[in-house]
Amino acid sequence: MSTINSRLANSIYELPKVVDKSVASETHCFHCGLNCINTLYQDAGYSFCCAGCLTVYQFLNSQGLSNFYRLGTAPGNTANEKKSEPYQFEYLDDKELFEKIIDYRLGDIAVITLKLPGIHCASCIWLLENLHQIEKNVKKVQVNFLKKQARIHFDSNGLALSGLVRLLEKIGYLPEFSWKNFNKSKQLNNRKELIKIGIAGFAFGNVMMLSFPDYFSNEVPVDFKKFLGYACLILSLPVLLFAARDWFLGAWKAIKHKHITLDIPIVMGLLILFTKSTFDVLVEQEVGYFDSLCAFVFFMLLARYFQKITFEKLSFTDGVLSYFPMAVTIIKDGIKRTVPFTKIQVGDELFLRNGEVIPVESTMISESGLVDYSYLTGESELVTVGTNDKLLAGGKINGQGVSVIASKPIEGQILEQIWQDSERSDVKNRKTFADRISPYFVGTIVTIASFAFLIHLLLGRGYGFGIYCFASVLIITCPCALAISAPLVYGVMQRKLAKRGFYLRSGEILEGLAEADTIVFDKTGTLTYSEKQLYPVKENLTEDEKAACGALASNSIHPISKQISKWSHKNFISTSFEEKVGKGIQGFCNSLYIQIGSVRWFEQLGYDLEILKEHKNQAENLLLVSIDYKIKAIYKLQDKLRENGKEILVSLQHKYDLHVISGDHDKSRENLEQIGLNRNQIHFQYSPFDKQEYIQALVKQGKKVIMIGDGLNDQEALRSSHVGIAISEESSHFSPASDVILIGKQWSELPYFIASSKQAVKLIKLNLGFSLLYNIFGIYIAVGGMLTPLYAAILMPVSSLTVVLVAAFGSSIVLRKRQS
Amino acid sequence: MEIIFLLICISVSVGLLFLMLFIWSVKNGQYEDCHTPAMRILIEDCKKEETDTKGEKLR
Repeated sequence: MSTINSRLANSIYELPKVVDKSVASETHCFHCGLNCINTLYQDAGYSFCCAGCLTVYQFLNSQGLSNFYRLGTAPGNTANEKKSEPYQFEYLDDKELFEKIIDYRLGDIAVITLKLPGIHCASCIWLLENLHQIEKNVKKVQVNFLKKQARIHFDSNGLALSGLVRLLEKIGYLPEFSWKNFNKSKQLNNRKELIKIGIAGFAFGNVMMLSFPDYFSNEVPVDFKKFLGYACLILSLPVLLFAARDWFLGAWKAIKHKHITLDIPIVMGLLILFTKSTFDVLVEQEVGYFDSLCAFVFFMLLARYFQKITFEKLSFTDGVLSYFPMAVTIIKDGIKRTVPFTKIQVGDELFLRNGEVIPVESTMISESGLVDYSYLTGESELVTVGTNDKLLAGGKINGQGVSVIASKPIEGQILEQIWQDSERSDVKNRKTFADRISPYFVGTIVTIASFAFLIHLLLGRGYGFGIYCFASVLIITCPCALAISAPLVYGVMQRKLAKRGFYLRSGEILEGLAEADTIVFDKTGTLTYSEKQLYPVKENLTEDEKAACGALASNSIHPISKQISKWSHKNFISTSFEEKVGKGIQGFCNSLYIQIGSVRWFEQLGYDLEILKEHKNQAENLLLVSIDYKIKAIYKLQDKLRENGKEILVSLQHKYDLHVISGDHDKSRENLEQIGLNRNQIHFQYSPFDKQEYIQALVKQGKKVIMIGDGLNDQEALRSSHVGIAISEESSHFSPASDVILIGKQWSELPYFIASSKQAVKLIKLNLGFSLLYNIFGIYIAVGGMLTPLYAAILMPVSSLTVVLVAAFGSSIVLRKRQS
Repeated sequence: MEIIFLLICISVSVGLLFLMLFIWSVKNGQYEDCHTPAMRILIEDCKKEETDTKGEKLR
């Protein structure tokens, strides 16, 4: 055993071999494992890909933390050579913000949980958890590998939060700052749930053991029976009072709102079970039904826990919250500094970089800039703005950074969402299937129970026996099987669908999906890819010319340039580059003078645009490429339908009423009509407000609407619909608040997802049928006055077990059948 | 026969002890992250080594 251990240890701690300098072109960075392009960065015989990685290595080495490199080959993160500006984290030292984002503090020691996307291997854990060796003010670090989080205890007097963040950046773990990362309180709920299960399970096991003597023998001595009864009563108390608390609260809430949910029959059953058993123990000196009571609560808790799935990477309530930044850069007296987003004041001069969101309505100071309003309007084209133009909050800066002056304060609504738990306001009030049948259920069993009571009274068997039969009916019909079945079916389906890229916020949403009869699509980003694609109209470029265009375009971050930059497969490097905001790019590459841009720009430059005659009406959508002042290629920018887009729409059209609403121009109307969509149900140039109204109108007509969208501009529409599905390209990406998140790649499986929701509802109904069968048998016994604790202890678990089996196996079978 | 009262009391108390331990472990946060500790156990020893291997001695 010891030899195995030492061998294991050797293999872990063995250092990677020193690389031979002569084959440097083939070497990998000692720090991060990237290919080393040159041999410029060397230290102690190791090669590094860039100055950044070398610096991290030297820093860790000087701190005596070189063991980092023993725990894995090239464990580091590729260092970002673009270091953050010295002022960038200043805002974190703002007292008010600091107190809000830390978990808690004990005296001077503050505890904060930071999201570190760089965590990826065992070495990372080791390095971060040894942070106290570098910085003595860090007291303790605990890494959560799967969540990529580190909980850091540090002395906030000796070390400012900005200092801590800079230290983390220095070793390659730049924290991600977003409002949503600092939403607390969820973990504690989970703990409470586990404790409840523990208590209910403990009570269930022991009460069952104590009930056994009574089941198997009629000659149990009275004092022993009494002892067992009291023990059961005491053990069941915490189950009823603590573990089953949520059902009581739910039932109380339902009564206050004057409607009947499933909680009410459950609570009724539990209460009568408890009262009857207590009466048995205290007066009749019997053991009672405590084992059934504990078993119910235990199984219901388990089912509920099973359904509570959290998708670590996803947040269904992002919305505005995660869209706005935590900090903005302010220029005051020529000095840049960062302040918390919430502290922006009217008149502040803000500096916004590429990709940053305009936090408040403001006025441009810079000469020109490009703004992407697609999240607000759905319009995918960039807007060019100039000095003194008004910028709307929510736009994203593209390309060059701009200076602006804030002209309005932050909307109160947004502020509220940042500081409050946004989850509550987003939950739709949906009545589940089980809740809907509950009133009938309660009515029926109460009628049967009263009927039994009256019959026994008429037959002259006395009040006592009548009440016993009344209680028996309510006990045996306790709808616990129903309470177990739905969460189980939903839980299984939720897990299986999530594996295929269809994430449900909660299981009940399956019911909404199953009922729907209308589907409304947003166009841009939903039916089509969010970025327009280039289609060649005329292309006269040689391979080399094309590659040169690509190399030139890689200097720009404009979305179209990014597409062109994919052409560069040769190692060309442009020698000069200039970007004309909103017009195009130009520069030298491979000794060719290249200009790429819009028709309008080419017109200004004095090109002869004779060849464009046939495409005159589409001029806005054209992109021209000229090499050495000769137009060599024309491209058309067009929406590209997602894969199998047509087939899916056609197949859905048979069963659903399909609508398309878009914020975009109606350039692609023809395409959609060709598929066969109804002309009156395709709408263009809809504002977010129009979209919401459109959905609300449909809902008012009594339609069950699924809305599928992608941007912030769809958020209100998603919220107004019965089920809102947000399409997201990657699971970690931004998505508006919604019920379901669908990963873009899996979009073609949409009909399958909707169909399986119908199967899930069928399974629940099947289960309902089974428990009805058991109930009929149970009621027969109860009405006859023959119900003993033993009957209850057998009949109830058996019915629950059937339901569990049907739920678990049924949903796997349903999903497998669909797959093939 | 009286001994059964004692035995039941003992068995329930033992169960109770384990329940307490379970509650303690939940409150201690042991069920929140079941993955990282498994990785951590492999690297724990490194700390001791670290004090005498500094800089150049690494190789």
